[in-house]
Amino acid sequence: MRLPRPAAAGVGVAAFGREARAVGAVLGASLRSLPRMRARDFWEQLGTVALSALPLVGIAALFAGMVIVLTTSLELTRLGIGYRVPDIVAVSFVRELGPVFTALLMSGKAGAGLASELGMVTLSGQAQAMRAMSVDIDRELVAPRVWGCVVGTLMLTTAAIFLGLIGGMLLGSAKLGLSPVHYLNRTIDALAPADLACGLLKAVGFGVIIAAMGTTFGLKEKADAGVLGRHTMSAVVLASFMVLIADHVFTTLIMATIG
Amino acid sequence: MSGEAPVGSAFEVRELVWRLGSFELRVPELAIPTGRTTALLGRSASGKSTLLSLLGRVEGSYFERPEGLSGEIWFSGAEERLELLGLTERELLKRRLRGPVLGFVFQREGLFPHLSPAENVTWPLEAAGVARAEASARAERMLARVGLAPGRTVATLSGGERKRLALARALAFEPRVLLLDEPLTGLDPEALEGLLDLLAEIAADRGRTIVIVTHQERDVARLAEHVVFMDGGEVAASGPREAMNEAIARFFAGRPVDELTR
Repeated sequence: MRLPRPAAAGVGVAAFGREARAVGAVLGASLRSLPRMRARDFWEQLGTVALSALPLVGIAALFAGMVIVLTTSLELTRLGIGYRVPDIVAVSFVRELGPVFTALLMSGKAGAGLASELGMVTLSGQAQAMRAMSVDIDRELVAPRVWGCVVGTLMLTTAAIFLGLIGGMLLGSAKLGLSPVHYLNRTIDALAPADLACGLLKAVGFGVIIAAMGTTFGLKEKADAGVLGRHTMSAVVLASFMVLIADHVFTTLIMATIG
Repeated sequence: MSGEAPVGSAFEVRELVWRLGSFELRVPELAIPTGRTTALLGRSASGKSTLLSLLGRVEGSYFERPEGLSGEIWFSGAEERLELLGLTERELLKRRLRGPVLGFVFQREGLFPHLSPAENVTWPLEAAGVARAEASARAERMLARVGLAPGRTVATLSGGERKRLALARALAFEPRVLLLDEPLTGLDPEALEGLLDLLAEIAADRGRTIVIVTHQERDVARLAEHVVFMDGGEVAASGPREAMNEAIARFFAGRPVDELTR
């Protein structure tokens, strides 16, 4: 039966409200259970999230740095300002590209990992069994994963920025005929503390988004493996989408405050 | 049970309604006797497991109390008399009702596959606040009681062994109430007999209330002292087993539940 438009809109708003409440519940639970969280659970999750994604993010960052040098050097050299390439690579990588593409890769890897792992815990009845034995799901499952993902995203973004700049230096110094030291000096001169703060603040925000989506979709009730797959896909798609929207919001806010 | 003192109610259900899409559980009144074994009987999708999940407060999911749920379930097995449906997830966790007081064995066992059988028992105990040495001692005792070796992996356990491990895990909390959702389904005859003997032994303990969902006449004959028939989300009939023998025989002969007491 097709619902009349206002009713359908109402159903949509109610569903959105439920999803938002679920995300809020996960974030609230991770904050409340932070004092109860065991350190070893956090380190274990941090290792799972950050260490396992480091090769992927590192290699991608290295090549992304080189690609930016390739594309910018072509135009800037034609305009006679090729010497500005290190400045542009540095600022764009630290403020935008490093945090955003790390977050997008993390949405795929950590977001899907959280949603599928917790999804299996839910689907196999382990989560229900934990509730039936007074095991604190927030302390055991939610908090270590959320905080591990947030801190892991921050660490991987830092690594991505560093490796992206190295990638830029490797190709840029050869392409522009600059010594690596000269290239690095230009990079350092181009960067202000606000640029680094901007990039790292965004990384924290993106980490929260990825963790919230992965954990929320993972802990949702599931009838079968098909739903598990759909929830995992939704976690990745929504996290990626929200990272891009949040990037715009964060950039606007950060530029209005710290410049 | 002639000659025994009258028993009180572990659970008293009042005006319970839960709408789940097209299905509705509606139990205006129901009492589950203390220290006895009650069998919940009925065809598939009659509401047995749904009612059991509410008695154990394991309904719904992690996120929220299910919508369309109303009524009261009074529980007398804790330190004080409690209305279970009025308790939030956080209150339930704080009071440690589930596990130490209300033990639950699920039809799909919900075992932790990355842990050994012994760890499947000790980890929830420790996570719920039991000291490590005490948890290990209880695990050893319970695994021996159900006849399971502690060192194997969960992935290598047979269906019967998984059921026994799930029971050992629930019993390790030493709960006053044990809620069993088809704990004997899908077992081979040997495993079935062993587990049935174990349940009969547990059921003989007058200090423990057991509610079991089953589809087997044999389980009712061996274990049940009280019977509740469910049909279409409602309680069709309930009473002591002796008074329900005819209805039980009709039910297992395949007669519709609404004709059992006619």
